[in-house]
Amino acid sequence: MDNEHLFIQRLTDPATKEVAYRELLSLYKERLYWHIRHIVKSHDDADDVLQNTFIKVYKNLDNFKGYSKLFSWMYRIATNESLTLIKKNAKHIHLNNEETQDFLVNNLKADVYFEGNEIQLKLQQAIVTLPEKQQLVFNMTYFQDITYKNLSDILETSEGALKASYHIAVKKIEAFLTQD
Amino acid sequence: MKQKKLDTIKTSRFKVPKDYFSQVEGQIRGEVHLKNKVKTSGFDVPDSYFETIENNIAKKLEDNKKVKVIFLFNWKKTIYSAAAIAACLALMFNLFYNGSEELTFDSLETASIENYLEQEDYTSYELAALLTEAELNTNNFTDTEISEESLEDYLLEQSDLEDLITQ
Repeated sequence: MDNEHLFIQRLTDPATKEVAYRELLSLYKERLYWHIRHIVKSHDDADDVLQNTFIKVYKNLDNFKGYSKLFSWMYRIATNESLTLIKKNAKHIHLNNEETQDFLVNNLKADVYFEGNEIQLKLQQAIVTLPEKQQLVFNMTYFQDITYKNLSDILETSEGALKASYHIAVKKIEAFLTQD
Repeated sequence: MKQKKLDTIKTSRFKVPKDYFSQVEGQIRGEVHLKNKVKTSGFDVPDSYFETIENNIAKKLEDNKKVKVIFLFNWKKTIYSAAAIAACLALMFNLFYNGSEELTFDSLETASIENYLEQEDYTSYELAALLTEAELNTNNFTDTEISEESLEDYLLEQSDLEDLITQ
């Protein structure tokens, strides 16, 4: 039995569940945090979503069928929770999703946990002009160095489509950064 | 023999997509250019955030388990108090809102009126005050025909029939 299956078994066996879950937490907390942070932009929101994600993971471990990899499943939960938060914020401040993202990025200037310079801020502004999926592909490839193979598993899209999506995103961002 | 064959093979027969090389050059240069300009996101985390987050999450899961138990406990209480409130409301509703029934003479039954009159003492003067002149016309008393049946019923009801016969 390979490592993945063994791990899943330990995560679902009541005798070993707690210990295995702490391992899972330790292994993925940083990667999932950054994935979430790139979507929601602020640290506080990322913190909330990260906690909700791990709680959801814990509660649904017994339902995990193993059709996909464990990490893909967790990344998907994290993505959904992040996007749900953005939609919720959008409703709260009566803006649509795009406008909300502009709003979130502009707030970065005053954010104590954003130490970016002008060009980094502009990059964030460029990213939110992209369609939702392209944003995900760009963030996960450019900043998080997730391989196309893993990305394909997480986003349930072919590697070819992901590569195309990524290069279009890079082109658009380049264009945005050079305009003034 | 085999060596000769190998020497004559010039191509590998592998193929590439159309315009692949010009396309890939553009893509690589674009990405490199971007990475030279801005490599990192600028996002920062509080110090020791990742050290404390594990314990925070573990604690939240503990609290979640506790909350579930307390919720079960109060369920019965909630049901009983809700039922009590509903009963009170239903009672109040019936007492203070009895429909739009207005009390008029029309809605009273004749039998009720008769019973009331029987109980009350009224003089013939009071009765006379209520009747109009047309009604008091003596013809009313003589023209009205009383059926034999009514007469018989009346006589039967009279207790001093004996007195009438002997007179």
